[in-house]
Amino acid sequence: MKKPVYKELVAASSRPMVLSILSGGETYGYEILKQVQLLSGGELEWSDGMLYPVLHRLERDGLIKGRWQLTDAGRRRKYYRLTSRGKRQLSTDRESWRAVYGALQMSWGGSHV
Amino acid sequence: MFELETGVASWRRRLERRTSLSPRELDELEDHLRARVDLELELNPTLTPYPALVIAREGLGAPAALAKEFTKAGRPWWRYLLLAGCAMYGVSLFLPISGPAALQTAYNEVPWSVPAHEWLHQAIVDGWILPLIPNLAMAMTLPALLYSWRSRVRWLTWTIGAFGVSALGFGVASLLDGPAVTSAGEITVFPYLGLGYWAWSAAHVLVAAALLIRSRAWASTRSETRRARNV
Repeated sequence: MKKPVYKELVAASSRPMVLSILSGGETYGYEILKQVQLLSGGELEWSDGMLYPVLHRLERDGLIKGRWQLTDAGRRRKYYRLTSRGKRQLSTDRESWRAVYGALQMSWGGSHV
Repeated sequence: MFELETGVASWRRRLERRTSLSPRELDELEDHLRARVDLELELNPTLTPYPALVIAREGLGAPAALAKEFTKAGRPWWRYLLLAGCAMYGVSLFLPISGPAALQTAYNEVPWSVPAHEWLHQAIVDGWILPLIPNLAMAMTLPALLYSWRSRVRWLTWTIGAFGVSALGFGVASLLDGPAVTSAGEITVFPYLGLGYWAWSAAHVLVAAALLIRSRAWASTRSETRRARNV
């Protein structure tokens, strides 16, 4: 079995990950976690408790915006969407991650990792 | 028979007691907990609500760990207001209320140009009650917040806010008016208010604003609890 991605890398990639998922449309915390699991094939271990502080920080920084809505079951649920500032941040993040990934790939002799 | 509602409510109460999460943050975590319980029950039809809740609760983590994650992400900003207000209040007590050029007025015996805490001491000795009210209210702020005395926080907010706003208003009015001199040559308004005066007034406004935001958060929990009971 493969080792899961280490904590610091998970934390560092949490912002672009959330922003990327939200660029697909408005969604809520629980769905985001499921998406992360799906996209990473379970290799990125996000704990349930770590997601919400990340979402609130992104909201405070104006990168995403939350709004409360009632679900069919009559529960209040907070949905998040990307703001225009969030979109700009996402493209900056994408460049940075590409640079890191590209450099590592070159150093590994161009082999696909 | 285990009731899911009771289990969720007691989980929420525990989290509320042990962390400083806002009602909104608790709402969101509660929604998450319920979604996770639903999923666990769906994945495993033989599972009963109690173990499903235990799995969901463990997924979110212990209150202390959860609070730590939230702290890393930043604290609610009323805390910064409160901190700034308290710090400013502390400093204001050591600054003079008025500048050296000040006025000798009806309260001739009051030493206006000394640091506020000396002045306050003098006021206590003289039995002058009025300036004591906002200062006592300020002293009560921290215990009231710490022990969640909600009704006290409400009147503290109004008392501190009213004194702060009137003091600032008075200060601004006296700046606009400039010194007024009576026929006898006495200055009757307070034209040269010292740093201590401004810091003291502003500190009250900051603390009152922090308390107001805090009690709004409480009010929203109350109405939500009431709504939940009605359902």
